[in-house]
Amino acid sequence: MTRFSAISLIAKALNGHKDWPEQWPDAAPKPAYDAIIVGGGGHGLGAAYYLAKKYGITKVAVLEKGWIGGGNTGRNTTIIRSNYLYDESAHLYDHAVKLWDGLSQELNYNTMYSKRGVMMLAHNVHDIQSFKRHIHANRLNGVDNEWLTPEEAKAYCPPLNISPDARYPVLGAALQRRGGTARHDTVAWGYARAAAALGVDVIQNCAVTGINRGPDGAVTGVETTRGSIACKRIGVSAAGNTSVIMQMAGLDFPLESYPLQALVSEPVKPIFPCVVMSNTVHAYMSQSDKGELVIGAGTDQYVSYSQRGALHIVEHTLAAICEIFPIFRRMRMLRTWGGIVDVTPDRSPILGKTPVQGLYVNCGWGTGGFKATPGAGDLLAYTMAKDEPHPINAPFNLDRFRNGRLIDEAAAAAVAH
Amino acid sequence: MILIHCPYCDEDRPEIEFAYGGEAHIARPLDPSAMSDAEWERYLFIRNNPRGRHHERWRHSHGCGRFFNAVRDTVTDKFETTYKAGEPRK
Amino acid sequence: MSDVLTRSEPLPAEAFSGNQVVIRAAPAMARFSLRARTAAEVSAVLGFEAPAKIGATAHGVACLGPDEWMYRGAPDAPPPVAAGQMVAITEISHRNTAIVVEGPRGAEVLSAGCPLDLSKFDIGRATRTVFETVEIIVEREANDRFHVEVWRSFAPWLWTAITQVAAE
Repeated sequence: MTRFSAISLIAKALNGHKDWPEQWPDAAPKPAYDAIIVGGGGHGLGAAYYLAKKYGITKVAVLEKGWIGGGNTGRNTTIIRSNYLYDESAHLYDHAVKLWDGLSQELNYNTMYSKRGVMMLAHNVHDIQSFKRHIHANRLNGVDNEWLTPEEAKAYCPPLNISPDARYPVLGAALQRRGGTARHDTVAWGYARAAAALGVDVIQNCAVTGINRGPDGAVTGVETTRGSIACKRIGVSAAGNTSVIMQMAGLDFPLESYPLQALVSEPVKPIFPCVVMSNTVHAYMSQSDKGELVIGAGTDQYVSYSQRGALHIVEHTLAAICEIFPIFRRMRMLRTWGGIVDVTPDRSPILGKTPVQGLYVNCGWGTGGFKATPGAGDLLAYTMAKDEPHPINAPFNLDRFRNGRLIDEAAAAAVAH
Repeated sequence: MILIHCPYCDEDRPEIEFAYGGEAHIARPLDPSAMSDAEWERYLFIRNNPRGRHHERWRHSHGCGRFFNAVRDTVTDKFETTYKAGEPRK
Repeated sequence: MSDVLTRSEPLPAEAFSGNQVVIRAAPAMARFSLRARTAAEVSAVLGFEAPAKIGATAHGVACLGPDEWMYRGAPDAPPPVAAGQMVAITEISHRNTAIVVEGPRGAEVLSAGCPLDLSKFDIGRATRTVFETVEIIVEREANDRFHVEVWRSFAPWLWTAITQVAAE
């Protein structure tokens, strides 16, 4: 692996950037590995990286049915925050936010993590009470979050209209300053490059078609479109396709997969300095480094694997954006796309062991998995290496749907799901 | 937006007139207190979530108001058929 | 001293007229929702034949669903009496109000927010549907006249939306 540095960048620039070597090899499957990760998104590649880096398990393959980062990793709105209400969630998401800090240095790859702040707007008394409760809960958990008056919110985000006559008046806002955005592709690429440098095989165009189990029920390997591969440990990190993979092992999961859409506008000069969410109006927005306004829409109402959504969902979101930010009414939208999100009954992820020996799962992140990428990868790696969950992800087990210890973060997201 | 054939109105109507009602043919248990935790979990939370044929409930809420069942392919979103509530699984 | 309650109308008294379309508030009328298992039971209550097919209208009665009819009559029309029939009758005269959209551009104006293909919507048909996010009941009373029932609280918004479209 060629390390990036100021010197290497200048040297290559003088040469017209012509001879950059391949950053990681396009590996072909070997007959056997110590561990296999199903799903080459940020979570799965992260898990492979931490397995190799922290636990010395380097005979690892990441199997991706398409191209790495082509699923939800490349289809989200790149928001990072950890202002979740419950203790379990706050610890889980803040573990990830702490890892985002320093990730670029660790991977020697610029993930463009920008702590521009995530601001949630309060439009009514209920919002004020709910957000203040979140702020207090967050602070008790060591997560930064603060209350802003309308004037302070406007100072932080000048395009805000804080006039009391607005259709949805801004009565205040909760601001997490450590929240922000990152460049989604680079997270997948950075992890793939760093993992490959430690010996991990990143295998694309390789769909898993079966999970093999021995007489004792434990996993013995996987069947793929590129042949059989033996292994004793499988970590499934397949987002919307998790139900399908789990059924190969005979497991029915408490998941439903829905299309979630996002869209971007034409690029404009920097105008929007932070991430703004309005849960009440169902809209959130940020501006990418390219200048596009990045907008998250809601999920379609029905279960689907189609990776596209209906236009009326986008229309509803844009109507909400226009209500809050009339200045953007004349912006033209450039692209919309959809990803398939796996939603659990309590809107919290499932990250841990399964009833099948050697089979581990990281799923159910719903509409908010990107922010958790480094944390989910790190905790899946821990769980696979130790065959037991880390204390942070222990509450996010599959058993909670049987014993009733749900972590009901249904109101945590900015869009309905 | 997809068009959905309402079996009561006997007509293709726009999706925004309808409300999705989740997986179909999940019978409410007659005696929940007699069920094990595993059975209750299965009833409340476990869903088929298939990639392909999916049996699901819809309600023509901004139309005739009736619940009905449908078979839809979750990859193409194409409806195979819709049928009235109470009719056997297709 | 007693106060007198006066009813305020949600729609303006003056019609919108222009661009080949006239939009006005429908006159006051009595409205009843009838729920029954069969059209025969509804017919027995009303004393005349109620339509059995969903979407059909006859004598001021529209069949909205397999178990639902709406009857509209003169403002002083007494409520139908169930008289032993299994019919649930609810007066909804003041829950709903109505807007009449008339003129060569009537269908076009409604199509701005209603997803139905109104070019294939026959005269005499009625159905519940939506205009943008507001639920409405549309009846095509003539080739270029639509009667649009809407809940009273949504009426001002619907009026603004429809007249704005018509003005463009």
